[in-house]
Amino acid sequence: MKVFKILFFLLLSACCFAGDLFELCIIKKSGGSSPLSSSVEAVLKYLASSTSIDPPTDAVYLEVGQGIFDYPFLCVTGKGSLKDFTRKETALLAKHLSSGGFLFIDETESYGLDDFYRSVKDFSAGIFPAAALEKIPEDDVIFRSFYLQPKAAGRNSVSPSLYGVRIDGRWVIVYSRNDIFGAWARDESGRFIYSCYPGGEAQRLEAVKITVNIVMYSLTGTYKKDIIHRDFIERKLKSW
Amino acid sequence: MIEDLTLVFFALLAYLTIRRRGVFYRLAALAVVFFLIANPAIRKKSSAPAPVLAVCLDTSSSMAVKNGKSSRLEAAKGALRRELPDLKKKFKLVFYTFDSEPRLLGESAFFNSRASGGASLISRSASEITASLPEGGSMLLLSDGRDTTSESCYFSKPVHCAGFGQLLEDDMSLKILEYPEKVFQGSVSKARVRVECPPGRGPARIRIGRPGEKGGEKPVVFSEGETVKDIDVEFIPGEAGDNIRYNVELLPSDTNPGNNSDFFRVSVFKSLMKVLFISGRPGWEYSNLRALIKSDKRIDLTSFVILRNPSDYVPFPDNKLSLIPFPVREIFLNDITNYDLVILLNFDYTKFISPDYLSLLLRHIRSGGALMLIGGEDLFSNGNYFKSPLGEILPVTECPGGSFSEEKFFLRASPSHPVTSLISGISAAGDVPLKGMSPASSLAPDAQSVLTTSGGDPVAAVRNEGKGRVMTLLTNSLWRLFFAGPETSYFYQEFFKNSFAWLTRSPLLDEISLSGRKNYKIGEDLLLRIQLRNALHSGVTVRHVAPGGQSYLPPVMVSPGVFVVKKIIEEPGPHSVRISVSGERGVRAEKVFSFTVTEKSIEEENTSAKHSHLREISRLSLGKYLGSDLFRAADIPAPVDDSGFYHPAMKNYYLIFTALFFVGLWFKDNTR
Repeated sequence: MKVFKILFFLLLSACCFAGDLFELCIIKKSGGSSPLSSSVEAVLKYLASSTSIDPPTDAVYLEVGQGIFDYPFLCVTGKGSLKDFTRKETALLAKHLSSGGFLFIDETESYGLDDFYRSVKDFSAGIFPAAALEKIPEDDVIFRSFYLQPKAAGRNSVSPSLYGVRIDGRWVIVYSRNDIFGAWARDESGRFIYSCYPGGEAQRLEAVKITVNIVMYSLTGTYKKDIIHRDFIERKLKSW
Repeated sequence: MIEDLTLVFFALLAYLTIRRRGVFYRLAALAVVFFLIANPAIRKKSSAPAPVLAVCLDTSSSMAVKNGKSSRLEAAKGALRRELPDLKKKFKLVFYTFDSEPRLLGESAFFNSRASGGASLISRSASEITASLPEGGSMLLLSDGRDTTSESCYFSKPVHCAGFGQLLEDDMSLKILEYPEKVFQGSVSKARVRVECPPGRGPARIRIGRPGEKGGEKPVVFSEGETVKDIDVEFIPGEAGDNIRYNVELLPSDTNPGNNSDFFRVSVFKSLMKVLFISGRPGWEYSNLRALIKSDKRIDLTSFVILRNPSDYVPFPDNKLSLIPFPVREIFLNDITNYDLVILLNFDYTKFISPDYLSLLLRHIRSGGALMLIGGEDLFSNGNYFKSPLGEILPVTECPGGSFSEEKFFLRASPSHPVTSLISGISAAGDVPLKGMSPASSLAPDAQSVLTTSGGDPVAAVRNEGKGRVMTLLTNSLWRLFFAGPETSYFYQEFFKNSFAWLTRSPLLDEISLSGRKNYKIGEDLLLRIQLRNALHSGVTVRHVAPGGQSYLPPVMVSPGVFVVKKIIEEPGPHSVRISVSGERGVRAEKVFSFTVTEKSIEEENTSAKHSHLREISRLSLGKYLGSDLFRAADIPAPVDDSGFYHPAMKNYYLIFTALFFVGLWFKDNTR
């Protein structure tokens, strides 16, 4: 049994990166959707060029299994409603998130109904029955982890807020209703595939900022809440 | 009585009915009747031997104190000589002297004894002697009543005490018995003190605090008949530092204030550890370690993460960013000495700070600071730290041309180092493959490895540097342990918590914590309390090394993980007690407790007599207190005389003879 366990770990570790680099792991779900590869590529490239996070250029695509424990940052995208996770998958996700993992859920298309929102609510209640999906306050540290006060923007503008599930003072699930990855998608010639509505390019820039902030939050937690940053940030905000 | 009178009535009736009244028979009959009425008694002596009385003379040094012209010892001998003839009539005498132990002597040796003993164990000696006496025996104790220890003893025979020496019966005294070596600032700590108080004295108070401070007070109430009390006094250290002095005073003051106060010194550790945590970039090791540190209320964390490198381009104005400039000057020039621990995680200093700043860090470490270097692709790339001022204190040596390795490896934890001794058995931690190792060649000469790869290469190594300590952790992939399962997550947390404690020399990591005293006098009881961090599957061996040789002391477990050792100190000079804790893999921890024994005997410390103690021994043993400075043999109660009275007139054969006599007379008179 122990040998199998070691072999299993070895198999997993063969594909993960050394050290503690940020790697984007996108959860594959049959019948579900994944972000466009150009969006993922653009996000990773931007993180590499604008921050000290130097992620690998490619994301990892995995189904929910033991493999997710090599990737603290998980990402699920979808539209309509979030695909059902089995009880085993839910248990693995609960263990992952309780151990310090992070899950970002991006709603890529809204049809004017709240089906996806409700399904996310049910999904998070299945993982953490005692914690509710709630709006992330505008003054939360996630809105100042790299950029100051970005809007919860994306390709769409379904909700001005991010939603999340907080465990022990940490947002372990962050949910955007505005198709953040859509704002990053480009075609082969490098032009943006989707226009951002209703805010246009300014909205896209906000989407860029909030993307970085979400990733940065997953890696630094409440770092920007430390006293040493507080006065400095307040001074900057006053200068606007 | 009624039976006797009935018999007399019938005897007289028979007498009066004698027809032939011969003088001889009448007189004989009268004599028989009078003998019967008089009922004479004869004392019948017991055949049992005389009861044993053990005469015990205190020959401790305090008995040499002069009381007028003669010493207490001489006064006791004089009183005994005077009463000796009477005592010998009543008892079979055996003679003992005692100080630290009782000695059976002949009469002449007894009277030639001198007061030179370094201790006087009155209760213990009386207990031992009474246990050796035969049934019906008792003891005559001649002493000044000053007992070195105040342990409770059982006396199996009555102890009659006579006290000698000048009294200071109103005298109260205080002595510190034990106190912890190390305590935490702001935490409730305890010192154990002994208070002696004459019977009937009102309530007292103990005050404890730093010199010049008011300190806290604790009331001491003695119950009826109680004269000695061992009390735990609590104190809350306010200031951190080594050898902080605390005074303990007994209030209100009495006629002999010299023995109403004592003091001790403890090392007070900061309750709040200041940690500076600099990370070269955001990453999972930083994220997990920060969360762990933040969850510890005893750590005040200041952290900096390099979120953007100088080469990174951000297409937004600076005031839209939450980034702050890295305050290098403030940290390294002004604040560095305030930090108990500096953690540098995957931090390439060459990009941000001058090597001169590392010289300041080096100086701080040597004067008591702590440094933890955690690996990553930027830590030892191009050998940068090895060539910095910190290079000479690193626990690992440079691997020339080495680069960040992405090879898999498995951890092995050292079972002998305090950081990992309690977690080295978590085998699951060794099953998790880790990737990413900063280049290093081998251990520095005086370094120890705490974690290694399964091949034996160092992963985490430590060394002492001046008053400070340094740890190098060559990998930044330990965060994977956090995700691999509850056991490995526990390993991760304990490894870092223990590392912080070890680096900052926190008492939290002490396998053995001791409470004792650093100075003793000859004749005093060494009292050492040993507390183990992990008592599970542990054996404790205690060896006392005295100037004249060594001996093993039996540790007595008083509660789980807490042991006490006691021994009467008889030799002056430097002493030490070596405590070894052995686990499944042999000796796990050792600690040496050193103390000094002064030439001065405890007997010389306070020479006032204490007859209340003798009264207490008499009371407890159902004996009699015979008074002070003299006693009378007649006052010593002898065992109840078991001799009986013999009444021949009331014996059956006499009564039968009487009846037959009168029947014979009657028959003689009435059958002729």
